[in-house]
Amino acid sequence: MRAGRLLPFVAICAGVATPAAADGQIRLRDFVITEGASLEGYLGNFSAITVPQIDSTERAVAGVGEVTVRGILRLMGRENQSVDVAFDGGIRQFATGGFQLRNYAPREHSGSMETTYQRLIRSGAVTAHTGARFRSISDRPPMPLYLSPGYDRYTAGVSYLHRGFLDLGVEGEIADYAAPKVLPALDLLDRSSLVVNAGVRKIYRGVGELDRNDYWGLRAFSSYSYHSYPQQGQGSPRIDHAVGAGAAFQGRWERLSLELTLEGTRSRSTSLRVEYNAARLNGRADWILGENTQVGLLGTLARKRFIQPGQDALVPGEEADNASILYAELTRHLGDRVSGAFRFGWQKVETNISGAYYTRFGGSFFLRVRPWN
Amino acid sequence: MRYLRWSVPLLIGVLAAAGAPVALGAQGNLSQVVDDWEGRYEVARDNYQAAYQEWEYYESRWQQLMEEFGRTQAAEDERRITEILAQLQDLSQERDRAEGALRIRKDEWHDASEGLISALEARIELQVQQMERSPVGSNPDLLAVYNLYSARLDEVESETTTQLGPRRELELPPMPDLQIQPDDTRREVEFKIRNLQSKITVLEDLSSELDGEIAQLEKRQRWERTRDDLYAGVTGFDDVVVPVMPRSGATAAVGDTTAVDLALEPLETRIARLTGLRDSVLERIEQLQQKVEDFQREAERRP
Repeated sequence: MRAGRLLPFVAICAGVATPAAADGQIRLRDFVITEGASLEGYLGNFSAITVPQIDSTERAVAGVGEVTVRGILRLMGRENQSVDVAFDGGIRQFATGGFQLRNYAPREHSGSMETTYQRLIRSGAVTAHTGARFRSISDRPPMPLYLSPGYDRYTAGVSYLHRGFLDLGVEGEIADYAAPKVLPALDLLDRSSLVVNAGVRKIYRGVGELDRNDYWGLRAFSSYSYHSYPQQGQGSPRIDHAVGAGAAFQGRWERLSLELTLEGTRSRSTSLRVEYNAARLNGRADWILGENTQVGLLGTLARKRFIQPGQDALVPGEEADNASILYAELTRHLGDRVSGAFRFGWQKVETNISGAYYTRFGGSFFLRVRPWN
Repeated sequence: MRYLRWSVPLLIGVLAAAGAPVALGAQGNLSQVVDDWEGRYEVARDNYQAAYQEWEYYESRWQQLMEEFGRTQAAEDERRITEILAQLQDLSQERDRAEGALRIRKDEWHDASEGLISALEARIELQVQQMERSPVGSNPDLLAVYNLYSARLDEVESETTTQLGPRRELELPPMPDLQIQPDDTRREVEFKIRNLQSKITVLEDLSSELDGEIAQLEKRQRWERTRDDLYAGVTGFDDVVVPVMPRSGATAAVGDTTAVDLALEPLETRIARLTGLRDSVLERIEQLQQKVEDFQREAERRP
């Protein structure tokens, strides 16, 4: 199944790449190798349907090592059109401690590739993209160490930005969790989605200067999402229809960059018990502290409320109601090609009804090398 | 039949009512975009005109001195010739600097004019759509606004075409074609050497300026890449994917794109272009230095 889906994607990428390669325009825009080591702690008594392993502990720790490679290849770059391929792949190994049954050694493999075609036209820009993402995990541990299950995911979409202020987009997605025989519950997460979104934006820049790098802007957007879960529902598959609306702020100045996005979602379904209203606030900030030092912050606050009173049955993949996530990273550039970064991460995920939760926190060090900077 | 006869105008009415607020909102937005670019255009034009006046001053002064130099050579007034050569040498640097600044300002005015023209075209298109929706002659204000923007578009296009001419890429000034003539005296050769040296100084300044600009862009590129590193780091292994709700609809950030900025070059392209220009400048400096050495050898042989 996996190979069968991979082949068309590779064919599409090759089809796009061939004429560009013939033009001799291929250029590596960015390439970075990252090596990292982390120490993490996990607390909580959370239960997830897709994590069948049970361990009575509510405290665990892990040492983590990882290597990733990421880059962007420009296959074609002309005055009014471009084709980029972004790729990202990595491996991460955990060595856990503190579990009652045994200490697990989960290993994650992750890879993604996305091809983006952009064309400037007189009235704006058209962007089309296709992407594939693969993730696998072996020796997946029980809670409170929550690691997402493995899956294959394919996306394709097209969007149009009109005159720089009106945008429209549609994206389709298929996610296959490829459940092994011993873990059939993962198939419940299989999903097909279609998301249509529209937005208006306004960018502001100082009139008195011609520096085009600094700006701030606002975007208001709305979306409609269709999610189909063929393995859920009794007799007929679960189908969700969600509408969302929100606003985003983005600013970039000489030493500071800031992004805030607030979005509300109203999800209704063929299965009444999974209907909910939700809100999510995403924030991202970057601050240049000095010649070679930079701080980055990334955070999310998510809140969800099921409509059905007394809804206490777990919904696969959506067992929690609230999430708070924060990552802070201090980067020091050690030359043109090498940088070191310390990252602190914290997240708490919890339910409204039972008070079950899990917390994940830890510190990491990363060494990043751009050999062809 | 009766229902059909009424349903079409009714449908058009409903659609028009639904579309009107959208169109009005877009109109306000686009008018702001036009106003924004008007401001930039004015600033860029004023800057260009100031730079042009400065360059014109040095250019006319240069021409005057050259004419005087010709007359003085004919009169064989050695003392005055020496004075003029010194003045020309001083003026040469200022004139080259003014010329460089003028090229940059011209480029900026081109940018601003392209932005304003795009914004005006968008605004006019919207106006036409509104006029098409309104019965003929029902709203003379629509036509007046259309005429206003159209006239402004003509004005901007005409102004930039006549004063700026077609756009040219930022490029090096032509290589000075200084040669030693058989009847050149030692002093005249030395003057040519000083002239070449002043060109080298200007090119060295330009090279330093380009180095600074490249360094600034590279710094910004490094900053942006580091931002991407953090995001890729926490999304690569799905660390931010938590079991709360499925992936939400696309919530693209505001984005660094406006209708007119879409033509902007990506950072890396700008860096590559400026690096190419800087390399050409360095190559030109080497060529001029070689020429200076050749002239110096020749000057020693002259009486």
